[in-house]
This record gives sequence, structure tokens and C-alpha cells, in this order.
Amino acid sequence: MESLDIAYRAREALMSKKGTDILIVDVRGTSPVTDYFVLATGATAPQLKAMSGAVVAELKQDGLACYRRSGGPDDGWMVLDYLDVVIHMFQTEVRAYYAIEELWAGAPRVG
Amino acid sequence: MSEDKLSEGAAQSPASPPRLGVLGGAFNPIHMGHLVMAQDALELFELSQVLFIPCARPPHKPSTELAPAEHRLAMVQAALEGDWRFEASDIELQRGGISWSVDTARELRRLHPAAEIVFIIGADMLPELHLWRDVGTLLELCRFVTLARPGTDLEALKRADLKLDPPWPERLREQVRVGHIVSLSSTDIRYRIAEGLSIRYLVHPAVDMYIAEHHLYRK
Repeated sequence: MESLDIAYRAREALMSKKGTDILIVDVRGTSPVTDYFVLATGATAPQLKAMSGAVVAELKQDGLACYRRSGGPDDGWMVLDYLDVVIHMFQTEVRAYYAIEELWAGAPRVG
Repeated sequence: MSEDKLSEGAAQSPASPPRLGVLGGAFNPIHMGHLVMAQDALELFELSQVLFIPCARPPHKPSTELAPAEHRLAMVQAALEGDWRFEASDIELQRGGISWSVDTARELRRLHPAAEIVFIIGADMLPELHLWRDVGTLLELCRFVTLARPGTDLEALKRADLKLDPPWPERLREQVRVGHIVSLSSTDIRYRIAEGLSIRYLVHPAVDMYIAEHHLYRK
């Protein structure tokens, strides 16, 4: 499965659990370790957990196993590493604090 | 990394990207030398946090005397309990196989895209860095900082041929600081345990207790 398709699938799953401010950042050529970062916000810890669960379930249907997970709902930050695509889910204040999209201010956003 | 740890970064100003220190090794067992080294690095290189990453299988050594992974990880966790500046990571144990640092660096960059990954090494490892797998890629992915013992001939170290392409030798030499002297080795500690000698003060008390409770490193 193409990495962009993985990113799209992840976005669908995140939206299904009402994730907001979903961004797909194209870091091919910028990052040596992955092709796309998908960023999303969840308002609460339980919502983060639901978003993460939905992504894992969705991609599992496509035969993709998550390579590495990091963080938990109570950390306000959860990561799903699918190697070519990495999904970062934040609670609102945490995402603002890290200003993570500024990292890739120059990288194209995928519509 | 939890939000608390980064917002109350140990030695770092909040404005710069967080610097995530990495201390790898067998931790067979983790001892006071490791803890002092991590603390020195945290302070001298202004890191937000240090990740202690026990390896699955060490790249350059045979794995013969290695205690099982779950014990080595549990001892690291026991030693770091209560110190919010330090965290145990099981990413190399999860990955399994030979624990090449370049693979760990890639994983950490995916998990922590906003952070600068900073590998902490001792001065004795610097002249051998050129032998590490994919060292060129590794040096691009993260910063390497070196801690030397007091009395190390820093001038000789700076003149040494690191056998790497520019700009790496110069950059590596800039990132050398002198830490505390702690001449402990896990090999010596294992020997002492096997001989029935005390390891009190050489390891964290929780590690001493763990080793005793689980009968590790006996003959």
C-alpha cells in the first residue's frame, strides 16, 4: 500500500472519531525517516484513545500492523509509527505547546 | 515523553527544541556510573531528558553473559524510579535482533520529530565510532556528545584521527566535555556478585534488591 494511501486511511479513521485539525505533512525529501506525518487533535484523553484505536483497526483491515506505539491517552500525546507514515495525536494544549507543525513549515500539506 | 518532563526541562531553556539524550548499552546490570554519566550529560549538554535504552543484542560484543531482557529492563526502571529527568525505553528490546544505533536513531526521529536526538558516549568510544554501522547516516540523524573522565588527555583526543569524513571529526570534537570520574563496570559488578561480594553503593539500592530477589549473576 502506498504511503499516501496509508495517510489517507489514517485521516479517515481519525475523522470517524471526531479528531480535529488533521494535517497530512509530506516530508518526502525533507525527512530521512518517513514519508508522511499525520497530525490530529483530540479534546480529551478518552477521545485520543478512541482515535488511536480507530487508526489501528482501520489499517489492520488493510493488512498493516503498527510497528511501534508510543505515549498513552493520559500523556496527552500518542504516536503510531507505521514506518512510511507516522501518526501523532495530541490533546489541544499539548499540540499548541510543541508547535509541531512549525517544524515543517516549508513542507507541503496534502489536501 | 510526557508533557511534564519536557515543560520542566532539566537544564534547557523552553525556547529551543527539546534535546532528548540517549544512553544505550547492555545495562547488565545498570550501575551508578551510568546514572552519573547521564546526569553529567544532562547538565553539560543541556538536555531535557535522557532515555536509557537497553539493547536486545549488543552490536560489537557477544551476548553470552547477558541477563534476560526483562530483567535488564526492570533493573533500569528500578534505578530510574522517581527521577523524572530519566526514562527507560524498551524500543531496542521490542525491535529485537542486533541493536544497531542507526535503527534506534530512525525510530526516535519518527517518535519525537520535534526533538534533537543526542547520543551520549564515553571518550573511549569516540575513536571507534567510524566502525559503527551506517555511521554516516547515524551522524546525520542525531548529535553525538562525548563525556570524558577527568585526567583524559583532551588535546590528544582532539588530535586523534577519527577516521570519519568531514565535517564529522570537527563536530564531534566540539562536543566533548569532562564528567565525573566513576570507574565502575558491569563486568566487575557481575564478578563481585558471583563471588558473594557486596555491590552496595555500586548500584542503585533498588537494583541491588532486584538482583538478590531474582538470583541474577550467580555462579
